Amino acid sequence: MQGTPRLVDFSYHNIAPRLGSVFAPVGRDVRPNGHLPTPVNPRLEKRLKDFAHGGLCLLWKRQSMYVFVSLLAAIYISPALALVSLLVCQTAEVFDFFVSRAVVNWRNGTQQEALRFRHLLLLASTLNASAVSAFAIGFALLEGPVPHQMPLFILFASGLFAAVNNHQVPRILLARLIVYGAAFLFIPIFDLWLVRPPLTSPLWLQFATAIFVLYFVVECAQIFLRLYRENLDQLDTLRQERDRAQAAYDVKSKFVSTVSHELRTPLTSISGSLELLGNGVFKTQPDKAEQMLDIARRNCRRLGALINDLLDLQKLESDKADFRFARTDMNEVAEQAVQAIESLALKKDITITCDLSRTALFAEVDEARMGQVLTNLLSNALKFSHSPSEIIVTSAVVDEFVCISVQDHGVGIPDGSEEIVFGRFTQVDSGDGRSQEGTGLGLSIAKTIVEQHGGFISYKSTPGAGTTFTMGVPLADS
Amino acid sequence: MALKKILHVDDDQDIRTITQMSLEMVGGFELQQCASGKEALIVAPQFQPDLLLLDVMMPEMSGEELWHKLMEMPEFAATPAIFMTAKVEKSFLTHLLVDGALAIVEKPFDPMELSQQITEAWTAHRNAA
Repeated sequence: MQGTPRLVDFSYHNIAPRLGSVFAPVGRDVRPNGHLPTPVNPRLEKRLKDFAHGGLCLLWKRQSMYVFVSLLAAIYISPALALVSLLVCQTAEVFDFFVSRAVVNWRNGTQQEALRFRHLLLLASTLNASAVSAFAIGFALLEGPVPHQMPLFILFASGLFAAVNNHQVPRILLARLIVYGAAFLFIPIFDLWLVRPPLTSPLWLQFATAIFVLYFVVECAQIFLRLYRENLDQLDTLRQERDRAQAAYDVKSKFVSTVSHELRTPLTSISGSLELLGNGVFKTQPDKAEQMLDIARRNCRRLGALINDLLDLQKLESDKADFRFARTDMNEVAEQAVQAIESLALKKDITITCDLSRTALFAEVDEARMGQVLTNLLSNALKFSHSPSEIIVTSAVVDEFVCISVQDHGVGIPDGSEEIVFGRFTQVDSGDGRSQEGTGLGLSIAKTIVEQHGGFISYKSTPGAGTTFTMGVPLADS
Repeated sequence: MALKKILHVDDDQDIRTITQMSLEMVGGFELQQCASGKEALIVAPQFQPDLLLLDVMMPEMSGEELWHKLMEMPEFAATPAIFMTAKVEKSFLTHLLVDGALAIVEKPFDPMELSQQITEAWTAHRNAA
């Protein structure tokens, strides 16, 4: 604060620039003080704005109350004191008005600004409450040691008004209630101290009633505070829900964009090769025409495989994958997967060796899905193997998991590539410029399936020497 | 100056083959192809292309990154680039054009039309310069 502004002339044009100089530096000169500006806590911002906005909305209501009370006081107690009290309350009101307006117009602020605004609002509220209380006490003193209906009712009304309308910022509410409460107790206690009446006196009754009413006002304030807090909590929950939905939507649209790219790539080869063929570019070159047909065929298969994998992944993700769990010997599943892929391996001059455990290894799994996982692991090993070379399949029980490993002697995977290996549409560069076939979804699908069985999939690799993928599913009770 | 030498970079083998047929047999250009940005950075100084024809989405180095790397070499600072892409977000395409790309060819493209598309873009660029 740069000192309390001296409010002499109440005309707006005179006041605004001066108050402006009080509010303008708020938060802007925080850097030289060594505090880095941090974004405002949204909850505090909401509280301050609600408070200030509520205050401004009730401006005319408060004004009519001041006038009404001042009139009563002027007629029944003291015109002079009534006039002074009205003027002092208005001064506090003007200050409050400009602070509140600055808060309502404040945008994209920092936490430091928010805290300064809270101080200013607290100051304005305390001034206001003190003015009201001082005059209630003033009237009470003028009335002398008799029951003080009007001063106490003014304080009661002010306290209730604060509880109902000023609960957005708890410490401002607290400040107001402390000021009103102190005045509320001071008036009857001062009478008791002055008169020292017997316990049967109405002054004692007044004191007891004051305590009861005070308790009631505090209770009211707590209720409003709690309701407001619950409201804020609900808003927070809603905001979080919205952020989550937005994030999910972003992931989805990124996925759709990637999928459309992946689908267009084989489509480009299909339509391109057919277009060239159809226009008779290769009329005199049957070998080139044959090459074009190969491209078209290959990419048709690629497109088909891609669509199948996509649908499969979608099915797995939507939790509609109806796994048929049954007690299954994983060694048998591994053997079948190896048989299925053996002819493909022979074409590449790669031998697959099964070194499985002697005893059957039972797990509660969907046999077809486990076959799919192992086929994916094997075809992945095949893809990245040099020819000739060997792929070794082993099985064992480790920590209550049936583990099957597929070891290749291929190009290996660079360190820190987990995201690429198990990511969608991503393949680790084989390093020799070959672009590998496949949809880039196989390992992602395998991982999803194994994890939905409560299992895991991982790999160990030495670049240049080969990779070992290991999948594990929980061992069935024997 | 008529357009003669084109450097084509695409990570997909089949698309390289089709582009090659299209530009060599239909268009009659002199073509050099690379499977990655890394390779292109080595090949470009020897080949001295008049024009770059770049795929956008490639692993390790995107077509855009490759383009910027080539532009940093004084000899390619003014070599125009045409992008081929299956990525069709409008904002992304506009961003490439704003950065100075000559044209964008959307995949799937028509191999019978590709040479003409490229020639038109090249002529417009020459006339503007």
